[in-house]
Amino acid sequence: MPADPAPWSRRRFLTAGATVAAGLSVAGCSLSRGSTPDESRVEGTGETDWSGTLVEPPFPKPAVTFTDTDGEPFPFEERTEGRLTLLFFGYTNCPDVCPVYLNTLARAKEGIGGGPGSKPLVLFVGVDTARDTPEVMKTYLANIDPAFVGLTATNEVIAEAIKTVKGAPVVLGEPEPDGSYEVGHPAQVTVYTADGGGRRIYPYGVRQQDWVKDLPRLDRGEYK
Amino acid sequence: MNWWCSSTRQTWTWTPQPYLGSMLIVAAVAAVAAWWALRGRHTDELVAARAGVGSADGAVAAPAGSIATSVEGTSRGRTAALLFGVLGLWAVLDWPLASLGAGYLATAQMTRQITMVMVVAPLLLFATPAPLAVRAIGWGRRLAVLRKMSRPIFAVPVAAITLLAVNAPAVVDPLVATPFGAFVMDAAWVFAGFALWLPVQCPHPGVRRLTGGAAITYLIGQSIVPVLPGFFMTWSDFPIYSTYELAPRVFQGFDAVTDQQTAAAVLQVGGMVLLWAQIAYRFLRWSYQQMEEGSPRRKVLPGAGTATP
Repeated sequence: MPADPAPWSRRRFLTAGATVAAGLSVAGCSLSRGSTPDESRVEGTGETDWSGTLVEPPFPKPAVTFTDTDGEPFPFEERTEGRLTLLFFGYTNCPDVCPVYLNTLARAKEGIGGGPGSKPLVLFVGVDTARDTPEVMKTYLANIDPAFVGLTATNEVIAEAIKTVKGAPVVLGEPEPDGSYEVGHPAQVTVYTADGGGRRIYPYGVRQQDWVKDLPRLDRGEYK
Repeated sequence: MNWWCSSTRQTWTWTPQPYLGSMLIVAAVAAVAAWWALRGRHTDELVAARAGVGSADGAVAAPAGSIATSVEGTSRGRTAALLFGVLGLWAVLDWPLASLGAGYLATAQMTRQITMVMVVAPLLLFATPAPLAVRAIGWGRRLAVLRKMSRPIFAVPVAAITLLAVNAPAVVDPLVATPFGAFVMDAAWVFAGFALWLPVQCPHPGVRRLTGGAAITYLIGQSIVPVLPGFFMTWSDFPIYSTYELAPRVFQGFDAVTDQQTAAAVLQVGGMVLLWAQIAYRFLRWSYQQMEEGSPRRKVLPGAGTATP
């Protein structure tokens, strides 16, 4: 049987120690910063510090009137004037994108705490007009963030609003045997700065930490 | 049927989705165990005899196939360890835990990791009979490698770096996105688990294991490893893994930050409990051995400790 190898020399010991220290540093940095930024980061435009996509020229606001969860009219241009506004089209029976996206926004707001960007006007437009009634929307959003505003409208009004932000049209899926169905909708948030321009689009995949970084700047009127 | 789990970002469903790769691995381990039980241990007397000669515990040459049991543990204990080890391996690698861990819940992923590293690896090492280890490793160059891997100076940094790396978001998020990447990460857990336990649980009789106080000290040192990733997961303001942050929710109300903090608790508390259970067991056994060794000496010195009036 071969004899045990010689004990480690000081050099080997130091090398091993340095390797451990390097490994701990790399892992520690990664752990403290999270993984790589979100997939929506714009490449090749010098915009590496922003998430989402810059819109130039900016989108106009949709000249439509929705209905809020209290049944009151919600003229979009008037009610969003001078405010940082986040517009999202989704539906309350959505199993994945909508709840994740809305919860991400809600937690990001909490993360900002106070000051600029802490109170954006988040508008959730229910595109499944058959099921997204004002009552359902109210209950749904109350579980995520009561400050979020639920809006409904006719299919025509919703289609017009989506067209304004160049989103994908709403598509109703085939009903399942149990009567449920999926709804295709734009999986993005359009951000209007206080000056009224739709300046940036944030697709699904933007992370809380990125919203926390961008919302205060957007609230101050910066968008690029 | 997919061959391995990965993050799909599809809505979670409780419809079973077994994975071919995990079933093959579990079947392979079970097949080796069955082969050894039926044929292997009766067919290689040379291996067994050599194992007896080389035993670090001083075991003498014994009948073929009986060296392992004479070194440590009982046949029944090994069988139980094998059974629980294989079941644990299956639970870790297959649906639903693997699917949940790879794509939905950090808590499930940490449960898998802790189970693999702290439960399955030591159980499988304990269940491996010494002659089987000898047959697999031999007495040549591979044994030299195994000896180096079984030294704490090697095992501590290797296990620590591997475990820290596979918990780093920059590693986790890209890896779990594909079946191959998720397989690599699961393999890293297996490697880290064996690396961690080899110094105290190596089944090869040609490797000197840490025992007693040295083993306890070593395991206490290893219990520090889960603290670092657990610390960041507990105290980070935001989810550190994009995979779990952007995954469809499995349980309503169990959001990404809560999931992450629960995962940190599993990693730290669960890992600590499992490791400290081992430490406590080894400490008690060591203490009893010390008492047994010390008792004749006390008889030699009857006056010691009798100053009480």
